[in-house]
Amino acid sequence: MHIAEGFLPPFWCLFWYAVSTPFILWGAYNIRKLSVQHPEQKLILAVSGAFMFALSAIKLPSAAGSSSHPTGTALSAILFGPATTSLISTIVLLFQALLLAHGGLTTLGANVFSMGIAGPVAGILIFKVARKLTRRLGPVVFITALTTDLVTYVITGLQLALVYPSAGGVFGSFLIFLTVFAVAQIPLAVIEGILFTIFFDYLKKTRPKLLSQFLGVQN
Amino acid sequence: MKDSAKYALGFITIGLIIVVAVAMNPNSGFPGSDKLIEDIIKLMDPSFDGGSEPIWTPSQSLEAGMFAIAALIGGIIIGYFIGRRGSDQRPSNPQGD
Repeated sequence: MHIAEGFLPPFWCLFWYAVSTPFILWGAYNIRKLSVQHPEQKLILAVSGAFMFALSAIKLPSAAGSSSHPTGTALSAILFGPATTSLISTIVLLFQALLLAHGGLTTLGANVFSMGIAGPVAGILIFKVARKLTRRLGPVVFITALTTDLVTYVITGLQLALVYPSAGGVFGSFLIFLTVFAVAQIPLAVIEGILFTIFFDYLKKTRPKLLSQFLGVQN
Repeated sequence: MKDSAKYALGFITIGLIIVVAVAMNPNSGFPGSDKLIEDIIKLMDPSFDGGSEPIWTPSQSLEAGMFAIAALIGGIIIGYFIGRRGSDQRPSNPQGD
């Protein structure tokens, strides 16, 4: 999700911007609507953004010998959906691109897609499936957070493989990048799973009304 | 098991995952996976000139500081939320709070 400045050629920069922009605009519209119709949700929205802001800034070592960033998108994805999450990601990634030389401005569209859209969409799909399988919130949130984290980096690998095919073509590159990204990310995805499971349990115990507002009837 | 015990166990597990990562790689500088990918790309395409450069690159310590500030800001917001008595524990304010 932190494709560095200059690593995507102009075509792909524009492509990913084109894909991401509708989501970001929709997210802006959602947030506007929220602040008018549900102002009491502004705080939990800020908290969702805070998780993304804080977690994606933290660099964690991985058993693979490298390090990487978690994404922090699970809370926002589950509560607010991919559009709002994409808007918050844009702010987070913009901050990181401008002040931390992490990610990039040309690659912002691509990075928003992987972190703010693809990861959350995959997570939400898994969330819905998992909810049908069990009413227990813990395992559901765990697998959702794990998925948002991993899929973000799988998509990043794909975005890069499309630009830098190897002798094995795009798929060959994709496999190479996956071995670096996905393997490094697995322990981090587990960490995100644990962290969000704790936080959702805390939410359920201390603010049950808030949670049921978003998730419907609780067990 | 009490909730706080469960949460503590969760955080300890997270800590263990990190400790195991460090223990398994005693001599590693833990390069970022994104940097590793960049190196691979440069190997694959030696003619790659790196395209555009970021507008501004902070020094190592400044970068670490900025990351810390980001984590701090996020942490403060989350901490504020946790510390605040939720609206579930207060009669709701009709103007929204």
